[in-house]
Amino acid sequence: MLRFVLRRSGSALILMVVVSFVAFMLIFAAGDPAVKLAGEAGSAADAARIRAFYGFDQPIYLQFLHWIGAALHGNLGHSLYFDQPVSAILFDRLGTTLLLGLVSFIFALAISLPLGIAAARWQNTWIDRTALIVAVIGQAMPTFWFALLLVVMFSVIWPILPTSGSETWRHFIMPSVVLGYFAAPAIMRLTRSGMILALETDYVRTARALGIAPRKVLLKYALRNAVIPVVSVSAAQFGYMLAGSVVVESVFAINGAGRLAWESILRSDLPTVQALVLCFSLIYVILTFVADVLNAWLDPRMRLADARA
Amino acid sequence: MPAHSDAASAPAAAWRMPRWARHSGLVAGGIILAIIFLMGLLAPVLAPYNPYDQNLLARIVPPIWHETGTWAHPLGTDHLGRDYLSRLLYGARVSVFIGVTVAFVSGIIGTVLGVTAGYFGGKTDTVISFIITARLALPVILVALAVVALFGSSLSVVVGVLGLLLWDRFALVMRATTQQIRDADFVMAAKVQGASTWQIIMQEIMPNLATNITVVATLEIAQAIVLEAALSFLGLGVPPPLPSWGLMLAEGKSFILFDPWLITIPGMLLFGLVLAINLVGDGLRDVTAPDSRN
Repeated sequence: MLRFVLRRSGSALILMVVVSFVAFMLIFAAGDPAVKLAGEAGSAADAARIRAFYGFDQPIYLQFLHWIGAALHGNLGHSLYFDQPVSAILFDRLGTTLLLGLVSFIFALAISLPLGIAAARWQNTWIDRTALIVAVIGQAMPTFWFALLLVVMFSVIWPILPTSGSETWRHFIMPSVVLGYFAAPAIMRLTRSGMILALETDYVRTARALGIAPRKVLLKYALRNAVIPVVSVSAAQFGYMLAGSVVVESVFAINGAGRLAWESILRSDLPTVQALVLCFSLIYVILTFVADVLNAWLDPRMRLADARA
Repeated sequence: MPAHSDAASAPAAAWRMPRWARHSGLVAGGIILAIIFLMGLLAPVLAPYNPYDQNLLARIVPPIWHETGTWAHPLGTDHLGRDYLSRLLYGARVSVFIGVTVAFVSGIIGTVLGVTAGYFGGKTDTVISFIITARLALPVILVALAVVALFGSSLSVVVGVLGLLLWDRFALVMRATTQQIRDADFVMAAKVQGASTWQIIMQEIMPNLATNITVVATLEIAQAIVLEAALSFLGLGVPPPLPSWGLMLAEGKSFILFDPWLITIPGMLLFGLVLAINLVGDGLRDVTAPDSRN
């Protein structure tokens, strides 16, 4: 198990370096960032001054090493818009987004796991069909439109929920429903298919033949095996949800990292954008790493397969 | 599903609808998709107005089912007095165009990577799998927004950035499928006959990936359409005054308090289009590979 964790953390580390390089290179995607920052009214002298100030005149790998070295010390650069260190703004906002992500994730699990299990248990009945419809609609619903519809429903027609802000728990209801419903279909589909496979296995048949209570067979024997692919996809969905917070936080005016990202992009606050892309990517890498370890713990076969490879 | 052996014994009685027609989701999705395609295709014929023409004297006219609606503008007008129906019809073109071109670009990238990784395996596979993982770690919306902001918003920038970002599912599926068939007897036979690697990939492997490519392509078309709408909604997708449904939603957002139909109508179309594409994709998978359901 320890060897597995070490091996996986090694590849996660390499991945982090590559991803940070991509995040770093983002500002060079459209040519000379100094010219971009100087703006259309900026002269060549302005661009040269900006280039010297940000070190854009150095070789790219040196700039990258500087940037990543500073980032490791918690210095994510200086925000052009706020005129203060990015880290000072970022961590506060990131907390809000992670909270939103967590609540949404719990909501996603609360609808997808029971529905997925029920759909597998009562396969091809109306329960299965209903779960399928819920999943299909969720997959096709654009998050921002769903968010606007909820606003119309619960803030205009039937005003019981606040439309914007993040002050109380009531502010989190609509955004969490939107984000959670976005993440639910994938989890639900995998839960259902995993459960169907598990329910057909010999050990479930044996457990049933031994007269173990059907509920226990379903939730203990079958679910434990069915849940393995669900863990990976849940981690990925959690990551997508954080990225999706860009849209949802903008609609509901929540002061989180997603809205900060959108605003920083509109304001051409490149250091903040870089730091945010980096943070979102790293969170995803960490999440999938945790899911891998969790899976290896749940399923010893995976540890062995990895060691052999 | 049992084989249709009864067809020979009782040809007249054994007539059944083909499998694809029995699949109601595929049929429903296909019909909606055909309607939206026709909307876009026939937009110049069907649209009662030029979608860009403003009429500041007729701003936010409600649709016909409202008391004050008028047949002059069956689906009303927006905040600049542009005919909503005409904009919606032309908007279908934007969505369909973006979806198809993005899926084309990402399909080529993903298929090349996936087939290479799956066929050659070993170190090649390790490297390509790593590239796929790295791509998955990047937040698509964020990167797309940033790139559009840097390059300036235009249709080609949106297509380009989404095409370069959405190839991951193509790569994953093509890699897995290629791995499954690379040791199959017909590939071996081709090798024994002295076929080159290129011939084997193009003549033996690729034809067997066609169905999977189609299924993944439908999913990616849907995803690209939603992402374009989301980018446009956030003001960093296709530029106004182009009639993109996402842009229409963004423009209607300020009026949801009194005129919610400004967002419900384009949203319904967007939802319907994505739903239809997903249904067709799911249906195709069911019809072509009944074992891989769930």
